[in-house]
Amino acid sequence: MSTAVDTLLRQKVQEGSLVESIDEMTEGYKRELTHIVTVSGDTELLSAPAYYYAARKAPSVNSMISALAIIQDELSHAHIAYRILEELGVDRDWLMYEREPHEFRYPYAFDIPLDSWVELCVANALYDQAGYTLLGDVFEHTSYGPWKRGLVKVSKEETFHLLHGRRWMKKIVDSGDEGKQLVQQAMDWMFPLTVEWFGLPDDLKTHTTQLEYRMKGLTNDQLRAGWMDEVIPFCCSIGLKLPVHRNGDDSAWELEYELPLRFDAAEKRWLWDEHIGWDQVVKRWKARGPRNEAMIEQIQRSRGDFSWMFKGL
Amino acid sequence: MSDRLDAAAARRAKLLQDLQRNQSAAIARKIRPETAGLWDLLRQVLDPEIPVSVVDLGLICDIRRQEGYVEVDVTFTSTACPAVDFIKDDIRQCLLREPDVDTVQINETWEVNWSSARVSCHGRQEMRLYGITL
Repeated sequence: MSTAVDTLLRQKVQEGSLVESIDEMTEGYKRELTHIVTVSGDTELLSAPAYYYAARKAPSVNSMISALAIIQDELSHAHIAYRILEELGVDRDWLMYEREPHEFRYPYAFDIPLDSWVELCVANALYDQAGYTLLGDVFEHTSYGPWKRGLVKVSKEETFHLLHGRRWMKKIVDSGDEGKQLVQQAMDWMFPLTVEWFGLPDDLKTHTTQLEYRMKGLTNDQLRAGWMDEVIPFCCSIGLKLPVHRNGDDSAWELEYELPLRFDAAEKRWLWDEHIGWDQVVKRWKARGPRNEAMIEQIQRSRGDFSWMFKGL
Repeated sequence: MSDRLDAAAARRAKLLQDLQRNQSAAIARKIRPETAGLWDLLRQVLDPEIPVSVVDLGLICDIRRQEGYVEVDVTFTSTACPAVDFIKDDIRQCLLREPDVDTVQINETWEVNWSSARVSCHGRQEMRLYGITL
């Protein structure tokens, strides 16, 4: 399709038009949409094994059921994204079962094991809030109609995930000094990890095609700031300390450290004085982290060692 | 003085009537004058997944009261409801905020089969606004 048609499409979507089917897309639009929905679907999918790893440490049957309900929601959100990709001509079996572990596109945070119930609750409060912020922006702004409508269900369910994380965090903090220390420790590790979730800062990001096609409406830094506006007041309200400050109630939150940083993965500790370049972060994201292969194996198991069980289904 | 008492009694009678009129017959029968205020209070407790109150969703099966001691029978929309603990905590905290309530006993009951028929008129309207039609 010609550049003129693509320019016209960009113009129409910027004026508010929705794209409803593949026939209305240019190659460029389809390529970018496929990319962004793949990241969204993979993120939902991989959150399931990441959360399951910690859900096994649930402190009661009821809490285990809550965690499993969240995991089930995440799988259904992945299903919505993969159905959209199928309509764009991507093979769903290939997406789920034939890609190599490093080909899945999701935030690096999920590759680091959630080792406790406390970390799972903090993940629900921080990671799900990040997902909610990103998808809330897509829901509000996206030019692709089927995705917008599919996100109605997703956004309602994510609200419960956030609530789950926040209520458990408060409950554990209120239980006494030991509980508060555990939540603070998880927060010290996971807060900067989620700050990184939103990607390169705007001044380094040259690729703005998704904004031009209005697949989303806000930039990385705007989304990161929106997420901070949600999580920081809550964390402060339950007495947690974060490496942030702001100058007055109406000003934006600022990090008290320079992004990005090196960390000690084994000890789950940030090395606050060891500033690194974003190129090193991107390299780490691409190489994937410690749980990547195990999680993909878990997902693809029904086509591997256990395939005989599924014959004839 | 007597005028004020009459006004308070009239308010209680109206509250009871409003609560009963809003609910399905099975639940309306359980709302008694001495517990109507507590039923009304629990309309502040929302289900964590759908922002409709536990009273309007038909989760509250009965409330009994003996001075500062309150007993609540509650059911859930499914045995694997992920919000059981949240809902019980919220009911307890809400009732304990009342100055004359000292103890709250919550009983989970499965003798009542929850179905959408237990959702009140108000609950149905709220759910419709949220995008769910019963």
